[in-house]
Amino acid sequence: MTQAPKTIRVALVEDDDSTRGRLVRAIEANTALQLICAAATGAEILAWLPSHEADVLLVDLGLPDVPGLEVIRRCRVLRPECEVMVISMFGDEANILRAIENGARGYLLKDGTEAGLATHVLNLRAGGSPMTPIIARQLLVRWAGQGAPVAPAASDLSAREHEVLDLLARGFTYTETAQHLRIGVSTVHTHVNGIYRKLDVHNKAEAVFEARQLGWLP
Amino acid sequence: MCTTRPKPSSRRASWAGCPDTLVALLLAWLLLAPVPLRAEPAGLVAEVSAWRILENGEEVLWPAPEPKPGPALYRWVAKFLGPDGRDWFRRFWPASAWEPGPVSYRWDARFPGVDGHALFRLTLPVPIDGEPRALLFSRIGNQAVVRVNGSIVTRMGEPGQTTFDAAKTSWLVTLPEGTLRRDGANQLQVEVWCQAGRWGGLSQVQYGPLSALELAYRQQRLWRFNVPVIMASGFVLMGLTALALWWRQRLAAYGWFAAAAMLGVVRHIDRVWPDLPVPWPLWGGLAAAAYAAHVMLMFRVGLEMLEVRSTAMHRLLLGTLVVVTTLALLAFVGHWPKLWSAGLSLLLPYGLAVDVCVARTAWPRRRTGLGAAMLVAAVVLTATGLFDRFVVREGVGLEGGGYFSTTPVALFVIAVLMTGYIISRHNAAVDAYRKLNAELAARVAERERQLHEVFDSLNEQRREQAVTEERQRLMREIHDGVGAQLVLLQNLAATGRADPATIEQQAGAALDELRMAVDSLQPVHGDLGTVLATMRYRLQPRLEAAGLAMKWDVGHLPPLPDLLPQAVLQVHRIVLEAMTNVLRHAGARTLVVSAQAVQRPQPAIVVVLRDDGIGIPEDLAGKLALQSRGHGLVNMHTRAESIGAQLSVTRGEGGGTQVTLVWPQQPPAIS
Repeated sequence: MTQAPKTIRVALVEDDDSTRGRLVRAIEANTALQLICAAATGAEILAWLPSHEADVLLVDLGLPDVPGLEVIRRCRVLRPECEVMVISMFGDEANILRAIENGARGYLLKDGTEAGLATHVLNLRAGGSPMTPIIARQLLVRWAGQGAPVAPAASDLSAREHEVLDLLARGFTYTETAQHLRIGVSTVHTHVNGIYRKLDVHNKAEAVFEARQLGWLP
Repeated sequence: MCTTRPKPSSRRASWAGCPDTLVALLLAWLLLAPVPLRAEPAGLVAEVSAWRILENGEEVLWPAPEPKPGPALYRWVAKFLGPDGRDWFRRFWPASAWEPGPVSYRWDARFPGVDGHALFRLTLPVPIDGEPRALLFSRIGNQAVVRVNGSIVTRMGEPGQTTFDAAKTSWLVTLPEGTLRRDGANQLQVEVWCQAGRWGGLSQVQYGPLSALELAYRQQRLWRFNVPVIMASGFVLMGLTALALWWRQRLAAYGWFAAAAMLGVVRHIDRVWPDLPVPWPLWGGLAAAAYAAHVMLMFRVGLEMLEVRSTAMHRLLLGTLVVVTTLALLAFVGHWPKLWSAGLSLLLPYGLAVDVCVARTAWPRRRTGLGAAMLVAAVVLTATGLFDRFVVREGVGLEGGGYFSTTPVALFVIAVLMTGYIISRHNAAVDAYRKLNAELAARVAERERQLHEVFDSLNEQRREQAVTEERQRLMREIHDGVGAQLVLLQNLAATGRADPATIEQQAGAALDELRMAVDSLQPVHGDLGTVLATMRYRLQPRLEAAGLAMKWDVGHLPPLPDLLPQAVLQVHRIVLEAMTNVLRHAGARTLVVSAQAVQRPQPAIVVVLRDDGIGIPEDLAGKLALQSRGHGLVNMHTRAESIGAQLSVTRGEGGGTQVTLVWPQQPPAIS
């Protein structure tokens, strides 16, 4: 069911009650967002997903019963059109990267302000992709062959993407990066998206195949 | 007996010395010893006029009224006539009643050392049935022509062809149709040419139907041909095996055995190959020498196996070997068969010496396989040696002597057993090596395991120590950083007088500390730029809220080799304090942050924070950093020092404050 202008249907799973409460309040405070599910455990959200549609799913990585990565993977297979954002603590870049490898499209910081949260979700839906300098640095290191290996299916960074990562790693904002490279800010976002997609180890078809193998899909 | 006292003035007489005289006498005896004839006797004739027939196990004198069918073994009862027609055999003894001759006629026994030829006339009975008849010559040598009723039936070599020896095989001669007369007696004439030094003459002749004789012929061939071939091949194989083993492990036993086996082949080849390309009598000498060497070397191998190390025995062997082989060659080439008999006789004392040695060494070990086998072998070889020397060669107790020496066969069997023993010893050595190898490998593996254990435990200790140290550092940082801030916050709240804004600010400061502590643990891969970038990322909202514009100018910085979390944390705190000061006190509109790598006056990284605010008071410039409420338990200057950098707070050009951090770096290693 769609209505124009479309509100973004948001589902979330977060085990900590107070954090969940904050998130719920933040989403409900914004008219562009519509909260359709606030689950507390992984099992709950996974039971809910097959029979409902959502545009954005916020996943807490530290769920007690099902690993957050597992939820992300299943959501990608069950609801490919739903975009997943990871709710992360402020120091968890490694897990964020792993989540992106498994299909997440962005991340939220748990300690962000509530207004910021809504903006983040809207930005994500608009095609934006956030990146921290540390993530940028880690990605540069990965593609340089040190650190955790990039998946064999991933292709190399293009020169432009390399420049973008380099500038972001040194602390320039998206706007400043765009000015440096004489491109538009949205182009910078596109490049970052592209980089994230390269991280995504399995493409959609593979994910579906794997899901059938493991018995998730009928 | 004879002594000479050599006087300086007299010459030494040539015949005065004993050794010279002895040698002369020996030579004289050899040369002048009574030998019946030196010249070739012409046409010795043996007249066979009566036959002894073996029938039903009984001997019956023929002619008998009825010649019986079937093969009959005809032993001739012969009169041997000399060239003058008189009974030659009885030349030295008075003629007596006609007596049967020996079963086999040996030229070399009657006329040793002389070449010659003999003629045998035998009367064959009339065949009564139509079956083809044949003659089976058990041994005939050395070349012969066989005639029946005057026509040549077969030739065995050319007369006088010394390279051909018909005695090496038995001959089955088929009598063609029409050769035999049915109306009267048939005459068989066998003319034989003999060479000195080897078996020559005529032994048993069998006459009968071809079918019956064929069987006997095949049997004879089986024993006379196949067995030596087997033994020759066996010796070749054993010799090659021993040679191969000796090649890698130079054990004396292997080497001697290989030589002995190869030498043993010669005799067996000689037995089966009628026409060798080597000329007689040289071949005879070589074969005899090879045989003698073979026997002696086999003894030597036996001694080696018993590990007898007596040099006296070895010298005895060498001496005997030289003497015997020389005698062999001389005997044949020079037509002196007595020399060869003498040589063979010399083998006996040597054999006895070996027997004594073996008995002494092997008797204590008689319970082991090797000891018992050696004792038995010594006894057997002594027996066969004596048998061969006296019975086979001289004809003691066996009329006409024998042809089959037992010693070569005995030696072959012993050689086979020796090969088995050598192989088992070789296998034992290989097993011993393998075991040693395995033992060593096990020991090495054990050592490695121990080393690994030690290494692992050391590693473990180091790891634990590193973890402990890091944990202590973290505990300190958290306690001193966040902990202190929270204590302040608690005190603030406890007073009850603080306003919410102050409390929020203090809580924010505590959160800052926490975030910085966590950020400092992130891997930055030695890039200071990322460290500064993270600070900006954290503080950007606050700066924007304060309306402060940021001009960011961080260049490419060289990677710092050991940028530890401690240093990162200090840099965070310095930058945080500087920026907080700008936010709180400077009243600035723009903040410029730049970081560059410089080479002069020393390689360093220079970080500059410059604002366009009111600037610090002159008297405070250069002093210890500004302290402000709720911040800076450790001042910026000390922090900078703790990471090896220099901090200066100055007045910037065009007003404002400039915080400069100069962090010297090691110059990169010259590659």
